[in-house]
Amino acid sequence: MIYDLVLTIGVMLLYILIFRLVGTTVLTVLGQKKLYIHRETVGFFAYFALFQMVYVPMVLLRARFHLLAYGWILTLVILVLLCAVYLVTAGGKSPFAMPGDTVMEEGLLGYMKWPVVIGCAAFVVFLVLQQYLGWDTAFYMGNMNEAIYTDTMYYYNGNDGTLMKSLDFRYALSGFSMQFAIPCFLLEVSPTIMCYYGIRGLGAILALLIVYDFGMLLFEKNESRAYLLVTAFLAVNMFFFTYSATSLFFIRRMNEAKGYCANVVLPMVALLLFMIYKKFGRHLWALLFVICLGSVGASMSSMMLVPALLGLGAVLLAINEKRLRPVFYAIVCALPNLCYVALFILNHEKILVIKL
Amino acid sequence: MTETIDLLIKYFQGYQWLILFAVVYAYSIFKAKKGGRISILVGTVLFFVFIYNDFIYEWMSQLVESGVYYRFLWIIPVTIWIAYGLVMIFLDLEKWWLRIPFVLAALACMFLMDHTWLEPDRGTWSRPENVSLIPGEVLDISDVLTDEHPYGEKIRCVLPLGMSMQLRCVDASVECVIPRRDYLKMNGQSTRPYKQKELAFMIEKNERPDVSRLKKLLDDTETDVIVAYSDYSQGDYLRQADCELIKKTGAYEVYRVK
Repeated sequence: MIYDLVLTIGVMLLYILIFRLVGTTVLTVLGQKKLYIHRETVGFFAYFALFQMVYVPMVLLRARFHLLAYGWILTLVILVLLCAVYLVTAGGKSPFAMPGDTVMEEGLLGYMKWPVVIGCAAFVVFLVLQQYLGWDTAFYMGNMNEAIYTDTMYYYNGNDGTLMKSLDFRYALSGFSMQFAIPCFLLEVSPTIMCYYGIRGLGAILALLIVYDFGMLLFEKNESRAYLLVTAFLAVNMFFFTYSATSLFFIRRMNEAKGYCANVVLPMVALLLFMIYKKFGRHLWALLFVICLGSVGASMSSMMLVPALLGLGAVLLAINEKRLRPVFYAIVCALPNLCYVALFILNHEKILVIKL
Repeated sequence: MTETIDLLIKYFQGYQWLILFAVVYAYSIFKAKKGGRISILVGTVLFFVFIYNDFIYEWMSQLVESGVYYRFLWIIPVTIWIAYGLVMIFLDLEKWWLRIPFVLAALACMFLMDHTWLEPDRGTWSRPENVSLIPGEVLDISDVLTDEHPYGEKIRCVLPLGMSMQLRCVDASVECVIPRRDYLKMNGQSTRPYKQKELAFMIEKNERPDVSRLKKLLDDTETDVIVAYSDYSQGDYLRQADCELIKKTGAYEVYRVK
C-alpha cells in the first residue's frame, strides 16, 4: 500500500510536469506567453482534449482497455517530444516561467506567500485523508477496477459489477476514469489509492491555482492580494458544508469527475470569460476553445454546463461590446460540447445504441 | 419558480449562506465601476432568464433527471465570489485594528452558521485505519474471495450495503447479486421496482425467507458467496440453506454457497 501511495504521488507529479509542458506549448503557439495563467491548468485541458480524441473512438469501437493504455502512452511520448522540440526551437525567454511583472504589498501582507503555500499543502493533505465513500465515488473506483480486471471499458456497471446490455454514453463518453486507470494498469497501482490520493490531490491543486489566477486578474497582478483570495477561498470552503454546493465536491468528492467540473472546469471557463471581458490578452477565444475541447474529458457534466456558462458570458460580452461577435465565438467554442450532447441524446433516445 | 427556489434554498442549506452571498453580491455592485455594475446586474438577469427557471428545470428533468439540475448553480462561482467580497472588505478597512476584528468576526459568523466541516460528525477525516482508507476487514474479506475463484472470473456475492460499496472499490471480481437500486429503494431513495427484494431484506434487515425459498433464491441468482452481519446471527439459518462459514471478521461472516 505504501508502495502504491509513493507511486501515486510520483504519477501526480509527472502529470503536473506534463500539464506544464503542454500548457506552455499551447500558450506559446497562441502567442500568449505573457498571459498570467498557470500553465498546469491550461495543460490539463489541452491534455484531456487530446486524450478524448484517442479515447472516444476506442470506447465507441469497444476496444480493449490495454489498447487504450498502450496507445495513449505512445501518443503521450510523441506529444511530449513534440512539445519539447517546439519549445526549444521557439527560442526566447524560458517559456516555463510565469510572467514576472507582478507586485507585492508592503508590510505584513508582503510575506503571505509561504504561509499560504504551506496552508494549501496542509489543506490538500486534509482533503485527501477524507474517508468519504458514496455510491458515485464507488462507481468511479469500480469502473477503474473493472477496466483493469476485465480489460474492457464500461462493459460492467461500476457499482455492482454486472455486465451492461449496452454502452451508457452518460458515463462512457468522458475519459476521466479511464485516463487515471492507465497509470494504475501500467504500474499496478491500486485504483483506490489513485482515487483517494492522486485524483483528489491533483484536482485540489488545479482548483487552487485557478483561484490564484482569479486573484491575479481581479487584483491586477497583486500577488499578496491573490494569496489573500486563496486563503479566504479555503476558509469559505471549510465552513460551507451544504449538500450540493461546490465545497462539498471540493472537500469530499474531488475524486469524482463532478468535483473537477465544479471546481476546475467551470471556474476555468469563467476565468477565461472574465479575461476576455477585461481584455487581458490576445487570442483568448482560441484558448477558450481548447479549454472547452478538454472539458468533457474532465467531466460529462461539462457537456451541458460549459455551453450554459459560455452562452451566459457571451451574451453579456455582446451587450457590453455592442456587437454579436462574442456570441459567434462562443458558439464555436461550445461546438465540441454540443457534439457530445448530440451523441448523448441519440443514445438516451435509443437511436444510437452500442450493444455489449 | 417554486421548484427552483426550493433548490436554491437546499443548495445553500438554509438562509445563512444565501444572506452572506447576498451581502457580498450587494457589496460587489456597490464597489464596481459603472460598466462593471451594469454587467453584474445584466448577468444576473440573464442567469434567471436563460438558466435558472422552471422551464429549463423541466427540460433537464426530461433529458437526464431532475436530480442533476443543482449543478447549474455551479455556474455562479459562489465560493470565489464570497471570498473576493471578504477580501475586498478586508482591504477597504485599511487599519489593522479594524482588520483583525473583521477577520475574527467573519470566521465566527461562518462557524456559527452551523455548516462547518470542522465538526467531527460532519467530516469524514478521522484517523485512517490504513493507507487505502478502506477498512481492514473489507480487505481481509477481499483476500478470502480472491481464493474462491480463478483470476479473471467473477464471483457472485450477496452483500450488505456498506460492504457492497467498499468491496467493489478494491475488488472488481465481485459481482453483486443485489443491485444498487434495491438498497436505494430500501432507504426510500428510488421509485424503481426491486430486483432482489427478499435477499436484500434478508441481508440488510434480517427478514428471513423460508430455508427452501432461500435455497431457490440462491440457486436462481447463482450466488457463490454471502457476506452477513455478525450481529444478525444468521449462521444456523444459512447453514440449513447449505452455506458454509469460511471467514469471520469483527462485523461480518462470510459464507460459501455449496
